[in-house]
Amino acid sequence: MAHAAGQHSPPVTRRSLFARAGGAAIAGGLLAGPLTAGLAQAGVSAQAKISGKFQVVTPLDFHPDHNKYIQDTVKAFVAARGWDTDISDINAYQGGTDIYQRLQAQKAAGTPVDILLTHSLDARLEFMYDLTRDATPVVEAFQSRFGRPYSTSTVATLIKNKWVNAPWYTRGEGYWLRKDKFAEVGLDTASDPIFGTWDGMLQAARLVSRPDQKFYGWGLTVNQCGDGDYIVQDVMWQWGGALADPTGEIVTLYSPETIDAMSWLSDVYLNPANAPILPPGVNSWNDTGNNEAWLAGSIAFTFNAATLWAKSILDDTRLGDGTRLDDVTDAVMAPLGPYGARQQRVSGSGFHFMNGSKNFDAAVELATHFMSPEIYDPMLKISYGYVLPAYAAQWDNPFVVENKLASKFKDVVFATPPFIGLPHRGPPTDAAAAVGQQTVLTGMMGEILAGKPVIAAVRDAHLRCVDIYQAFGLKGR
Amino acid sequence: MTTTLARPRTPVAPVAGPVAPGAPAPPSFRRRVIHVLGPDWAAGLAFAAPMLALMVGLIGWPFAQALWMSLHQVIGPRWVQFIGLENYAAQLRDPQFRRALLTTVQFTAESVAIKFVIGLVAALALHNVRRYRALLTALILAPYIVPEVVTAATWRFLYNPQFGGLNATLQVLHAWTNGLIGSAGGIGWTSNPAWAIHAMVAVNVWKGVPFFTLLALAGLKSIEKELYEAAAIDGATAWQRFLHVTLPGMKYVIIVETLFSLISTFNTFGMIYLITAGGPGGSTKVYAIRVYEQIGSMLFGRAVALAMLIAPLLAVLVVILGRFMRGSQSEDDRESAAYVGLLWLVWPVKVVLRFALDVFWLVNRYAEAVGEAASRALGRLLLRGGARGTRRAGKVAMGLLVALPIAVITFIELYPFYWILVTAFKTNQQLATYTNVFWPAPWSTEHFVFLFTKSQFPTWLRNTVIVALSATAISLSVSSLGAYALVRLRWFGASFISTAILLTYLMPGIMLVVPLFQIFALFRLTNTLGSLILAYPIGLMPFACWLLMGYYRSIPEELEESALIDGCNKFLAFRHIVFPLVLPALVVVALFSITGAWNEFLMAFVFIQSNEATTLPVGLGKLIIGDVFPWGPIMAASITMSVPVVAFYGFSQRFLVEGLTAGSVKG
Repeated sequence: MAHAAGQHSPPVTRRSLFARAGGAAIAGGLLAGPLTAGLAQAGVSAQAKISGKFQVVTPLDFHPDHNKYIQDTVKAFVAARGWDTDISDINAYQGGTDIYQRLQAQKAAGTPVDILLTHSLDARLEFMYDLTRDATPVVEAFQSRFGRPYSTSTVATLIKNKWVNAPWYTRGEGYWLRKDKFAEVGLDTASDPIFGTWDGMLQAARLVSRPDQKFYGWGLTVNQCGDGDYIVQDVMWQWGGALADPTGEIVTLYSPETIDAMSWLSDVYLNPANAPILPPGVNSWNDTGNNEAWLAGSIAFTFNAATLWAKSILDDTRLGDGTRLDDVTDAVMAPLGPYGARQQRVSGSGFHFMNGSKNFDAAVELATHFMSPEIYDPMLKISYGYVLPAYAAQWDNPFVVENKLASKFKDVVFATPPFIGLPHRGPPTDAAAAVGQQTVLTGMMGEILAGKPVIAAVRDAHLRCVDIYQAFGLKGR
Repeated sequence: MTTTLARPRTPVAPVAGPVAPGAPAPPSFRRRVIHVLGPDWAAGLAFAAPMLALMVGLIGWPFAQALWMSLHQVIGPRWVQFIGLENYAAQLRDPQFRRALLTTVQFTAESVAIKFVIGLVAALALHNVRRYRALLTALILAPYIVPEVVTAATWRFLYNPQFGGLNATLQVLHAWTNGLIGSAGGIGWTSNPAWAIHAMVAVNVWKGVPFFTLLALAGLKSIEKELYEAAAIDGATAWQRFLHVTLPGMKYVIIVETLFSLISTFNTFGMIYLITAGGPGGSTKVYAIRVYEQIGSMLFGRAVALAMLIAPLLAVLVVILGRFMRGSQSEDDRESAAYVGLLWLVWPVKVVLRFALDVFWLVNRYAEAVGEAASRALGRLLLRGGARGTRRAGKVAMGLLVALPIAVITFIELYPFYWILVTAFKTNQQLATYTNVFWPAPWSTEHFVFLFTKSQFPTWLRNTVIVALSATAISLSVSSLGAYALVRLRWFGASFISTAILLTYLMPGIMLVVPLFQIFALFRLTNTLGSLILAYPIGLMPFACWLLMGYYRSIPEELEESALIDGCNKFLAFRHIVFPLVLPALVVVALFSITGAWNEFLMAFVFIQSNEATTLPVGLGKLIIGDVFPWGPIMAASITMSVPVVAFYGFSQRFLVEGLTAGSVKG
């Protein structure tokens, strides 16, 4: 699909962007950091003028202090400029399809917001709906100062050589372990190779489980939810299976590799020998299920965003014996399967410059303000355990260096291929995104767990994918 | 559907004029207009104009647009090409569609059947209660006003297999009764595909029973006492009186409440989506979730086609409901093609129902014989205690018959509220570590403090009150005028319109919001409470019209005729004679309207961006962030927002039942 910038979005050059942002920063007299100084030297123009109300949507994240900091920063920024501003917020829970409907409706009605700061939008869908302006000049400006952006963003957000939004920060994401419990059975989470493979992880889960004490080793669900979808994708990938071929046009789900992967995964849940490692009702969990079980101290191993860890820091969550949960938390890279290559990824938050908005200059100016160290560094401190930098040079920041698990995430954040972060070999396509939206993979696992033979379930899921691909005009086969 | 007049046309007096010799006088233009459009067409149009404007602008246009879209390959915002019926064919080929349809039918049939039975039992018991009826009715109605987001959150918590309230209760019962009742390991309510759909039915029943109870109560109240007395004199037993007096007396209300519930339950989306998202393994994926998935994956043409494929099924229910809403069935109706077609469509259902009824009467005959013998035996036993003992035993038995169902139903309806209450008063540490499961220790008000000092809860509450009151005022005005025009005035299209107002039920709400947003944007209403104030009456209009139409029918026409003779025109007659008499029904409409505004999420979410204009259901959603669920604040908010509405219901439930009783539920 051709992605036109849209008639409301005049092309922006890097030079003009520098001029606008830098000039505005100087005129505002607020930004004194090296970024703004550099931008200021690149060109001078009057401070951005706004048309009507400057509309800003800020993220609602789990951390109240983080949310407050972001909102206060916006308020101070616009107050200094005397801009008439409407600040609203958004969170991921309400996202889903509704948010795209709202944004699409706003765009169609000619009333889009100017800038949206969030982690909850899928760049492919934004691209598809043509919801945002080309953020390439903005990202190039950030890159020139802070280095390369995180790897997943270059795969998921850079589409057809254009940035759909500008990376702001990453959210840690990984496989989490209770190091105290594994230590009790003689396993060191920091060094034991057992945690490096899926078979090893399963073995470790069996060793650590104590169902009589309501403690379970395997805190992963394959139910219909984001976490469940990720696990099915990850195992499929680790066994060498893939949704599509390298062209991105032909579905390759029905393969011996996928069948092997799903056989292994279903055995985890169906084999009576594994019953003691599974928390009751694990396959009714949605995205909050594993968080709740983890924070209650009843599972030894799970996959999640770093919100799980940060929440325990924020609330000072204690275990039954008074131990801080944070103190006994460790993180590891995704376990490997027979294929031997990871697809682990991280998510991140970005600046979304909405297509058709009236105050693009002001929006860029605000984004630039947020990236200045005076604003960025306190955010890292306030949102400890949750917000990590999006650009390489920012990782030298003392707040990041002091973060005890940050180093574990750095390898994932700046990984190079084959850590591509997608469950298929080809480029991102709308059809692949639709497969996710229609929960085909978790649906397939659900059928297997309900008794359908693995081969039949994989074949039927493959046919569903082909139908979806063809609905998008791809070959599918 | 039919386009005939709502009521038989009255003969129009001949008008004098030049007449050719030997030929009948040609009708004047006015007579021809009256002949075609009906004698009251001008007043009819004037009365119905606001309702028609809402229908055409906010329902008809989006519906037509959706229909056109279903004939195209539409991917996201791109209308790729016209493809005729291919989207429909693709859906029919798709096993997922068939599965979703079957799941929806199962969910709907099971839910409505259980709601009907429990609602009827609750109403029968409440009808016979002498003391605390208002309080008990208000308590049973409580779930009706809980917003969908809170309902879903509460039941997610209850169903949590590891830490949820239901399994905790079962485990305690198991321990107390030495394994006789309950379960040691708990039940996988939503993890087991075989259980999950029934778990969703339970939530729907919990929330839907109040609606059935309320209407059934009104239906019971409308049955004349003399009928029971006559039956008793004829020697009919209580069971026979129920079968031959109560049920026939409630026939109309039973059909209408069942049809309304069938339609709304068939379109259930948010509650299931928020609890299971259609899982596990697609076992709770009803058709609305399938539509949502396809919209989410940008296959708009296909999504609309799916909804349109379901529409004929709903249309059958809508046409039947429309006929009942119109009340009496005219000869024209009987002859209309739509009616004949409908008879063909529902013929298999009628055959099955008739067979089931025959079986029932057969079983009942033997059951009554057995019951009579048992009763005689019991009577002989009781007579040993003398007539006084018999009377006392009868009183006790009657008391039990009333108290037991009320106790059980009240417990079921209030059980989730218990969990809402204790959760709201636990500390974050207790919630995170699942300690003090049944009782907070210590009790904490930290979540309430958070709500009122650190969240925008007061703003959300204020906005919701403004929207609820304003939307209610519009609903009352539009529906009272429109229903009057449909029942009392004779004009072309009244019959058609009384069915067409149900059109809104043919599409899931999710498909209406984008076109509605565009319409509101045109009038610069987006991001304002005005958009919600205008949109909310749409959903309520069919129910409000049905209620008011029934009510208008119960008012003797002679009252208006006298006013007309005294020199009033139609408007003055309505204003001074009819309107004051329908006030009880308007109270009912107001209550339902306020409840709707208190609950609605989707439109409020899509139309409103600004924090300053956010309403409670969306505001509560804003408390739920990412994959961390703030149980405490959510439950505290739930209590805070429920208390005023429960009190309001408690205070006005007498008017509520009276309003429903006087006319509408009699048919």
